[in-house]
Amino acid sequence: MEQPFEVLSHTADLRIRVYGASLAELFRHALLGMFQSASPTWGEGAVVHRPIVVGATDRNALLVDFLSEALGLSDINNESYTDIEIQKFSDTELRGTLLGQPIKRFTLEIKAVTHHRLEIQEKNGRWEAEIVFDI
Amino acid sequence: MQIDRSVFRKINDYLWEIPQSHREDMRVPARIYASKKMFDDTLQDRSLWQLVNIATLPGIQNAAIAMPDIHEGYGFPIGGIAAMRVEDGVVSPGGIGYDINCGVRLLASSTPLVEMRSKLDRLADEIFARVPSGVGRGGRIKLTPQEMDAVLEDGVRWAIKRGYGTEDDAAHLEENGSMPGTDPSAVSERAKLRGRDQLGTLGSGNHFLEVQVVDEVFEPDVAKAFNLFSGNIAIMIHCGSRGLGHQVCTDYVRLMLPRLQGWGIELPDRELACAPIASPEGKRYFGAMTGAANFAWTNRHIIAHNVREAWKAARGTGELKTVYDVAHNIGKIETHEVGGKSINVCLHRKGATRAFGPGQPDVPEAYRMVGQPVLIPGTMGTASYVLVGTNEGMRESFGTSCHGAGRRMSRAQAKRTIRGSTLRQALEKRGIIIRCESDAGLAEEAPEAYKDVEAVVEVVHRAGLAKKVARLKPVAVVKGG
Repeated sequence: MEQPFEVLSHTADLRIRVYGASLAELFRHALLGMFQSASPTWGEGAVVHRPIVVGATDRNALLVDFLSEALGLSDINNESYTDIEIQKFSDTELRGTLLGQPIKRFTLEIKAVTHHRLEIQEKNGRWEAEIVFDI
Repeated sequence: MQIDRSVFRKINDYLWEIPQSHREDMRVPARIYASKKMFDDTLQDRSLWQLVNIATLPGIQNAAIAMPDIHEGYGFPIGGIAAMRVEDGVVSPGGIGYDINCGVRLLASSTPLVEMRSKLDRLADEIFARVPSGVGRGGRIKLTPQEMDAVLEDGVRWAIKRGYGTEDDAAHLEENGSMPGTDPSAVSERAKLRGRDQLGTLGSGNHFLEVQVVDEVFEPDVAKAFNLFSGNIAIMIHCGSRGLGHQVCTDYVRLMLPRLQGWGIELPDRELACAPIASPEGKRYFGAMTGAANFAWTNRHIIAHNVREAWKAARGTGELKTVYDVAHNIGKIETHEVGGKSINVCLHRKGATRAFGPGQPDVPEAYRMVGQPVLIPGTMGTASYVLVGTNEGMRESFGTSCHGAGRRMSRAQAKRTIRGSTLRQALEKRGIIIRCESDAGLAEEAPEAYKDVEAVVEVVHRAGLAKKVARLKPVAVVKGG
């Protein structure tokens, strides 16, 4: 199975390159990449299902807004997410349900998702994007 | 996107300039304060390209300026300063930072280290227990929506009314810890929810709380005015606005991006997203940013209160006085001389600290004769510095100094090359007590991952932007993972 994401070098922040066979899979892998990089220590409690609805002007902004929304929900509810069931997806809209669990802490605090150098591209039949997170 | 050395003009041993003619879209030159060695290192990443990009923003005055701790960010570099004329300039959330009012507070004691040495372990334990650090741990204060709005508007005044700290503390803080102009309605519900239980918390990453000793005094009269005496204990707190501030910046970058075309603004980098200062969106951002700044001052104020409680538990007696509190990610409306005229500007300081000189009305009365304290946090095992603002700095860099050491190694590389447990042992062998949630977090923040803070401060000192007053060395470090 091809890797969903890889961590790249950046002086002060977190930079990952995400891959997907489809755009929806790219978004899913970006979610995994962000939260796996944050390295949660799991807490107690059942699996959570958190609805998420995001709209944006284009797919690049949609990816940033999707990850930002997930980050905000994570901070408010003290959760981390391991997957998403996507119910509706287009270049400008995403509706779904985040699946996750309560956490005790994250090792890495991700402050924000930036637009820096983010350009979703199709290369050799695969979708990829680089995302820089402020940490 | 690196810039060739041949583009630069050396102005003096500590100042280099990229002329406005370098790129067609530049409105002003770009200047960097650096030693020759730092300048050579800075050519290796994209930070100077990012500095040139700032020079293209509408309304920018004089020059886009970089401090010697500059490193690559997103949009603005870290260590970047830009002054935008209020009447026709832009305000850029990315030019202030996601961690609005990330900053530093310094407390000073009259207790020599020798008297406190046997109690330092206890003090570190008490602080670690009272000041939540790391991510996922909330503080003891849970704000109602009404209380949240009050914190955003009133800053530390809200906390003082509730018995945290005193008016004397407020008199020794930048903006008295309560910057006017908040619009609580401009802060989103999401931001308020994120911040509701985060007052009194440190966060993680490069945020920390250090017990320090005043190791060397360079300007005895100024140090005395700041209550800093050689051999005495001081305590430094470095943190910001937590999730609330991060959300405010995220919200307004999102708001501004699709509106750029309508304002006729073209940007070389989306993270420079901005709005005309005078537009409704610009005003709302400023109102929200001010609220987040007040939240951060209140956060450090509550932490300082809990540090005082920890001090009482460990030592029993003795006072911790507030020296000062500075923001190093903030936007301020200030009046500066440009081309012989006084102009109102929105001063963007991202990884840069205000450093006002003697006589400036915004400097606390207690310090007005000598100038504003400038607090520069170092790295574990090295040193932090207290500087004082100068009037030369007012002319050279809009009254601005560096903010710290600046990173030179990625966190991933730091974790690969430095073992956290080895670092912990090395620091403890030097008598530095460590309370940290994870060794990986420790490795990321190792001194080797940063530029030499001594060299950074030396450039600022020799360039006349601020003068060295005292060096502080850590004796105990508390941080999240």
